[in-house]
Amino acid sequence: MNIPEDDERWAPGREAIEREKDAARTWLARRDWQAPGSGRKIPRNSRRPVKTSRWAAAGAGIVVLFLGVLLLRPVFHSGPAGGYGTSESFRKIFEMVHSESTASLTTAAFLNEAAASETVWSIQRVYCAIAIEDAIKGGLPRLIGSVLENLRKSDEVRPESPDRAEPRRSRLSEMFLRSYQSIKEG
Amino acid sequence: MKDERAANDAKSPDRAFLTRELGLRREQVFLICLGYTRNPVEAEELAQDVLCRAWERAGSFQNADHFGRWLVILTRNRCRDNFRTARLRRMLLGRNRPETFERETPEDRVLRDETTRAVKRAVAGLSEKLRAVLVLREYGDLSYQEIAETLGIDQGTVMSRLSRARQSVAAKTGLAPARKGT
Repeated sequence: MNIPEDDERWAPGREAIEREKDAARTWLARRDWQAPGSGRKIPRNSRRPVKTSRWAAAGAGIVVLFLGVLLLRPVFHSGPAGGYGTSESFRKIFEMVHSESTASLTTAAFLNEAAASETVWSIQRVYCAIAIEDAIKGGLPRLIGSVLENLRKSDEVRPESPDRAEPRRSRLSEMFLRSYQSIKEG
Repeated sequence: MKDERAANDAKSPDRAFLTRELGLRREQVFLICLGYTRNPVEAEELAQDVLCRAWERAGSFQNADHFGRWLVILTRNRCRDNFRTARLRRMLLGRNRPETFERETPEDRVLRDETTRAVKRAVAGLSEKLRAVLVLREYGDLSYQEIAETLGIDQGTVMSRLSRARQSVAAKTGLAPARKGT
């Protein structure tokens, strides 16, 4: 359906678009709707190495730095010299888990924070990381089970260390369980 | 084996209808995609994607008479989604499209022409409502009625949006002086 256009001011714009369409039609006819890899290969005139912007480089740098810190932290920091501090971080987690009204990602963020805190030992950080994954994939109820299960595993797997490991791991696990039980019971 | 299966599929009325209709309308799909994208390479990829989706989702449309409208809506939605993600990608990753062509042909020169590029930039800068009307009219060659049916709006709205879109593009590109009050 051809509708006469009354706006003469648009004529140059329409001409530019028509030129573009004609050129694109010719380009398309030359390519003949070829699927990639089929038949005669026509060099694509837009193939260029992707240029990375400053923002992308800066973002990648920050991510690498962050990952580096995360990876190297256990190497330089094997655990607390003494005492466990408070269980405030885990209390927050269990409160949120128990209420079941908060998004699992937020919960995971708190769990991550707690895992990175000095109150938790390295091996338990690993289990907390697993719990974070579970929280994201499986939702909140699974997180509770996962954390408790990991704490039990932590007790089983932890190597014997006569000077400090045994009493500390017991205390730590008990502390978490007590926190959870107290919140659950209101 | 594959050829035999394809031949059998083509014999069925739906497949035959689809094959014919998609063949007839693929250029229109490509041109609408061209209106939304910055170059024919990207438009072709989008158009191929739209045609594949149309083939896959052919069962979702009921009335064969409305196939054209259905295909235009599918194309427009796909282009709109791509436009948004492309804008986000450009914002995050910066400009990664070529400014020059390796083997320049006459049509490449047209596509690289400053006026054409200025119009493309101005169209990309329009709001989604205005851009959809302008692209469907100027690139897809749809009538006012067809645009109204596709977008689910009145013909009067189509005309007013089209007028505003043209004025905006003309003013931004310097193709014509802006009217007083625009």
